[in-house]
Amino acid sequence: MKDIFFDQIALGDALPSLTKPPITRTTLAYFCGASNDHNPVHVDSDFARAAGADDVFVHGMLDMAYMGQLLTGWVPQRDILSFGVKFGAIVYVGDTITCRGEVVDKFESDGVYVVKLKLRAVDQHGGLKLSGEAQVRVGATSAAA
Amino acid sequence: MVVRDTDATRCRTCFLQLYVKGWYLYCWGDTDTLRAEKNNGIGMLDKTLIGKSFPPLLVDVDKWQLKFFAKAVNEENPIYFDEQAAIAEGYRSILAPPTYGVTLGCAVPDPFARAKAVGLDATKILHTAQSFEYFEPICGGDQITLVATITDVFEKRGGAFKFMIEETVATNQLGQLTTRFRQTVVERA
Repeated sequence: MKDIFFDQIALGDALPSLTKPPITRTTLAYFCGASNDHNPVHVDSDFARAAGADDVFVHGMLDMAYMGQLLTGWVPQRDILSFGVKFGAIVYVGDTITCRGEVVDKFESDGVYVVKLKLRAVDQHGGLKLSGEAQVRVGATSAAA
Repeated sequence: MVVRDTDATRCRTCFLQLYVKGWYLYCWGDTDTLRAEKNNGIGMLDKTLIGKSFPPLLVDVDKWQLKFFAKAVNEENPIYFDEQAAIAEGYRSILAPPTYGVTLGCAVPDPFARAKAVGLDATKILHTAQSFEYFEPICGGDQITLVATITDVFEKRGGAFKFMIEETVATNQLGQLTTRFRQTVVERA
């Protein structure tokens, strides 16, 4: 992980994007157990259809976990101050999620140098699945380091 | 469930809000009853629970489950699955990833209890928004106390969409605030 400094950040800068492997039913089975979200609509096709869905669909929190990896790949987790998303559209089995982030603001507050990021996750067709924002703490200046 | 106690305002076994129909009181947690009543246009949200905090829940942060979570999301950074790597980075143990508060919040007998209590059909709930504020890290072996508060309950489009927002405060065994997170769910039509 490269250190990030306030004086080297410009509005519009893009974070290195993160593309995850295609989501399989196995992914959902693992995430069901790992996340404690045992809602059968994510792992049991029979249940999902009876509940009116076409098939099982992806836990929103899996997409958010991927977006979290975009952030923790850019700054250490202890420097994430806030992180929020809206789940825009359902993600299905077979989809490939790419997470992107862009610097939309930077400011200093009580001696803390903060960068505000706009976040978007899209599928393999470019369809927006998740949008959000995060605020992260960065170093003041590369010269002082 | 159906009870004949017309003085009761809450289900005596599951604490959920009751409402009166004829001689009977119906428990909101009974989804078959709820669905039948909604088909008659009777289903309503219980806004009296706005601002209500629920009893604290104590949850252990399991190292094995953190490793499993890392596997499920194809995590490559070892601080999320290797205790020695996490300690080398200054953490007590394996670091819980940024979204892990929600996983801890689900580690209860019925994660949908609050949604049911306000009158949402748990089989039709979708998660529409989630946000976190961060303070101290959560690590393997920690014991986290979660206190959830329902902060809003509302409808859109004449009741076609029913929303609940809740906020959860997570405190560790040292009394430190770790994260505060906010969840919005909707009952899809």
